[in-house]
Amino acid sequence: MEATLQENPGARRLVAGWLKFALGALALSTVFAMLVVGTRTPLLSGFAFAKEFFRSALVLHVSFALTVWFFVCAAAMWTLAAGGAGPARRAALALAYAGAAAMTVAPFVGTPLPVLSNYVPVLDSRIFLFGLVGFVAGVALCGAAATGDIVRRLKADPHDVWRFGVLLSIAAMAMALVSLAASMKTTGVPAEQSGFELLFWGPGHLLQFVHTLLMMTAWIVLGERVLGGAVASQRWLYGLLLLAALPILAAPIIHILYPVEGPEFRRAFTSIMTWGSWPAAVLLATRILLQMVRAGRAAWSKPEALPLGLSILLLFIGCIIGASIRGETTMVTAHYHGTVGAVTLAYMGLGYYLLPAFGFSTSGGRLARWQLSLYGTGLLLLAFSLAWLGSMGALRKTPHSELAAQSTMAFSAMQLGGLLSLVGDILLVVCIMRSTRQRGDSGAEKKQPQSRSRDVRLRALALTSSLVVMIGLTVMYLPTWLNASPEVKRSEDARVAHVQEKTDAEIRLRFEQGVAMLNAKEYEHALTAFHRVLQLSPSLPEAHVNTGFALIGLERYAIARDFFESAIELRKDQLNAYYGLAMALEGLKDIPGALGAMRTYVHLAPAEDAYRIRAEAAVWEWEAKLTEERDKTLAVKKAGTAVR
Amino acid sequence: MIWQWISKLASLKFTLVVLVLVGTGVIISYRSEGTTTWALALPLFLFSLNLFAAILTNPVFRRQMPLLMFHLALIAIVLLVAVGRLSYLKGRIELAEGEEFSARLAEVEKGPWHWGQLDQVSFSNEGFTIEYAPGVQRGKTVNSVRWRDEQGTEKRGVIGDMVALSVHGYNFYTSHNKGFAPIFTWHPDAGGPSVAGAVHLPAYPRHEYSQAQTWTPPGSKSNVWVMLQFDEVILDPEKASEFRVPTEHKLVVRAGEERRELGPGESIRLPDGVLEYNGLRSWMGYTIFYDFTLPWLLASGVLAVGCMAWYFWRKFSVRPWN
Repeated sequence: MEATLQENPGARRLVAGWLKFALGALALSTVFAMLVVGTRTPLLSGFAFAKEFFRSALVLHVSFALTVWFFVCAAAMWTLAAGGAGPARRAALALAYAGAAAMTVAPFVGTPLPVLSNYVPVLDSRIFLFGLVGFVAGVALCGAAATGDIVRRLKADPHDVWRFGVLLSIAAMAMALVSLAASMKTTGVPAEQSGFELLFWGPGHLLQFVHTLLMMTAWIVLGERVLGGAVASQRWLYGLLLLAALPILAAPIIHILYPVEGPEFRRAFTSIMTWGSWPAAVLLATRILLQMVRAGRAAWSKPEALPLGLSILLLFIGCIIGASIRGETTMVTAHYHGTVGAVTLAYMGLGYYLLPAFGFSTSGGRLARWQLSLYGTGLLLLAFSLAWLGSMGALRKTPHSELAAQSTMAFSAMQLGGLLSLVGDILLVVCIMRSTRQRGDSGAEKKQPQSRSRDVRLRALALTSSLVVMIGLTVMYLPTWLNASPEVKRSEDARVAHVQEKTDAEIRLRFEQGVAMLNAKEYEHALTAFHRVLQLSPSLPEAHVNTGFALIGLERYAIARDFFESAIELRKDQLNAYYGLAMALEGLKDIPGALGAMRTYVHLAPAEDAYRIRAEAAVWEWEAKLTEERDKTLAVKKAGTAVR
Repeated sequence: MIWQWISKLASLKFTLVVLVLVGTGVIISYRSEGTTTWALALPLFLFSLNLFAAILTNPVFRRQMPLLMFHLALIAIVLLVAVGRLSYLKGRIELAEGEEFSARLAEVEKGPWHWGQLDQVSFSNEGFTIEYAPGVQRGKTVNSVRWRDEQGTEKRGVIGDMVALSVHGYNFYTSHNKGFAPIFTWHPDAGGPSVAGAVHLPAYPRHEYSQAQTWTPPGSKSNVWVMLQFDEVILDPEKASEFRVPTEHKLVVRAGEERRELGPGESIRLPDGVLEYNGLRSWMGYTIFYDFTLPWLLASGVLAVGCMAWYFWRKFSVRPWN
C-alpha cells in the first residue's frame, strides 16, 4: 500500500488531497457538533434561531461525520489502490470539494427544513441537494476512474488482497447508485421527509456494504502490520471479502420484485443488512483477534494494534446491540454508533499507518494513542448509554430533555461519551497537523524535496472559488440577520410566531411521514411519527386517530381504543375516530360497543364517504352476530327450563 | 496552433486593446440614452479571456498562489460585472396602503438577460410612518409590508430606505416619494363588476400645493380631475411631526362641467357611471433593484485585495526591509 504512494507522486498528491478532505470533513463535523451543543446551552438556546439551527447543525454534523467522511475515505482508498493520477481523478476531487462546500453553506441560506431521514439526512434546500449531488458525483467519478487501474494491478499481483476489497467496495457503491436511480424513478425529487426516506432506503442499506468492505480492507492491512504477516491465507481472505459483498446482489432482485413504497421493499433491504452485513466482518475480526492473541505482546505493542483492537471491539458491540433492536428506540442509534465508530477507527488507524509514506513523521506517539483511546472510549460510552436508554423505551430522534427524563445517569454517560469522541476528533486533526510539520526520514517526499515548483493552479482555483462562495454568502445573508435582530428584540410576538411556524412545519412533516408509514403498513415507524406529532400538538384529534390506527395495525387494541376515545373527546365530530373505535372494540371482542361506535359513524358519515359501505356491512354483520348469539342464549335458556 | 492563439490572447498588447475598448464602452454608456449593455459587457468579457489566457500561459502563476488567486478573483470581478450589466433591473413603483404589488412597474431599466421572477413577487404595503424633525427634515421611513417568501409562507416585516425587502432576488426599498391616495369605487352603467382603485396624488410634501390629479375611471370615457383640500398642518416646520393622512379633508372632483366636493362615502354621477369616494389613504413609492452579482462582486473584491496583500507580504517579508 505504502509502496504505491512512494512510487507515484501523482497518486500521492491525489490521495493526500482526499485525506485532507476527509480531515476537513471530520473537523467540520466537529464544528457542527459543537454548534449542536451550543444551541442546547442555556445562554444560546434562548434565541429562536438556536432552536431552529439545532436540527440543521445536526444534519450537517451527521452528513460530514458519515456521508462525507466515509465517502471521502472510500475515495482515498480507491485512488490509493489504483495508483497514478489523471484529469478525471483530479476533476472528481474538485467536484467533491465543490459539492461539500455547497453543503456547508446551505444552512445559512434561507431557512432550509432539516430532513432527518435515515442514512442520508438532508436539508431541504436546493443548495444542499445540489451540493450533495455534486459531492456524490465526484466520489462516483473517482470510483469509475479507478476501477480499470485496480483491476490491472490486481491481475499483475493477486497477492494484494486489499485491492480486491477496494474493488468490491466500488462495485457496492455502483450498486448503491443504481439503487438510488431506481428509487428516484418512483419518488422523483422528494418534497417531504417520507419521500427522502423512501429514496435513501435502498441505497442507504447498500452503502453499509461499501463501508464494511473498506473496514475489512483496512483491518487486513493493519492486521498484516500488527502480525508481521498475512492475517489469513489469500484464498480465505478472498472468500471472506466475497462473502461480505455477496448480499448486494440481492438489491436488483428486490427492486424488480417489490415497489419502492411497499413494506416488502423496506423489509427486504433491512433483511439483507441484518443478515448479510456482519458475518464476514465478524469472521475476519475473530480470525485477527485469535492471531493477535497467539502472537502475544509483540503484536499488541504495535501502534496499529490499538485502532485495530478498538475497531473490532466496537464492531462486536455494535452487532450485539443490533441484534437487540426492537422498534424505533435509541437502541438503533446505539447500534450505528458502534458500527460507525468501528469503521472510523479503522480509517484512523490506516491514516496513521500511511503518514510516513507521505514523508511525514509517524503517528505522533503518545498523543495519537490518547486520541484513539479517547475516541474509542467515547464511542463505547455512547453506544452503551444509548442502548441503556433504548432498553427503557426511549424513542430515537427525540429531544435531549426527554432522554434526560428517562435516566439521568444514562443521559450523563451519553453526554460524556459524546464529549470524549469530540475531543478525539479534535485531537486527530492536531496529531495529523503535528505530523505534517515534522517531516519523516523515510518516504517519497525526501526524494522530491522541490515542493516550491509544484503547480498550484488547481488548488488556487478551488481555494478562490470556495472563498468567493463563502464570503459572498456571508455578504448576502449577514445583513438580513443583522436587520432581523432588532425586530426580534422589539417583537416577542414575532419570535413566538416564528417558533410556532417552524413547529407547525415539523408537525406537518411528521404527520405526512406517519401517514406514509401507515399506508406502507410500517406501523412501528408510523407510531414513532405520530408520537412526535402528539408531543408537539397534544390536542390534535387527527394525530390521536392515526396513532390509534397504527396501534390497531400492531394489534394493540386496548391502547388504540383509548386514543380513539381521546380523539372523540377532543372533537365530537371526528368521523374516523368512531370508525377506528369500532375496529378497536371489535379487536377486544366487544361487539355491542363496536356496533354502537360504527352506528355513530354511519350516522355522521356523508353519503359519498368511501368507508360508509364497509361500515354499513360491518353494522349488518355485527347485528347478525349479536342476534345469533342472543338466539343461542335464549335456546340454551329454553333448553335449561325444559330439562328442569 | 491553439496554444499560439491562447498566447496571443494573453499578450499585454491585447490587454491594452481591451482597456481601450472598456474605456470606449464607458464613454458610450455615459453619452447614450438607450441600452448600452453590450458596449460594456463585450470588452469586459474580452478582458476576462485575456486574463484567463495569461494564467494558462504565464509560468509564474503555476508557483505563486497569492498572485494566481488575485488574478482569478480579478477574472471573477470582470465576469460578474459583465453578467451584472446583462441581467440587472432597476425600477420604480407606487403602492397605496393595503395595495398588492402587481409586477407592473412605473419605470423600468433592465439588461437583455434579465429573466427574473418579478411576476412571482407578492407583497403589499401595510402602511408607513415617517418622522420629520423641525424644518421638515425627513427622518427614517418605517414601512410595514406583508409578503410571501420563496416557499410561499406569508411574512410580515418592516422595511425602509436602507432596509430592503428581498424576495426572489429583488430588493424593494422605500423612496422619498410618498403621498395621499383617494380610494374610489367605480360603478359602470354598462353593467359588470364595480372596480375599486386608488388615485395617487403628487408626492407630499414636495408638491404640497398641487395635490391634484386627472384620471379616467376604467372603461369610462370621462376624465375626472380630483384635488385634495385640507387645512391641517401635517408637517410643521417649527416642530417635530409625522407624516399622516389628514383627519379632516375634502376631495374636490370635477368631471366635465360638474364640480363636487366629496367626503368619504359620497359619490358623483358621471355620464357613464357612478364614482364613489371611499376615503383617503397614503401611497408609498418604492425603488426596485435586482443584481444578483453584487454580493459575489464584493466577495471577489475582498478576496482580490486580500490576495494582493498576501502576495506583497510574502514578497517583502522574504528579507528584512532595512
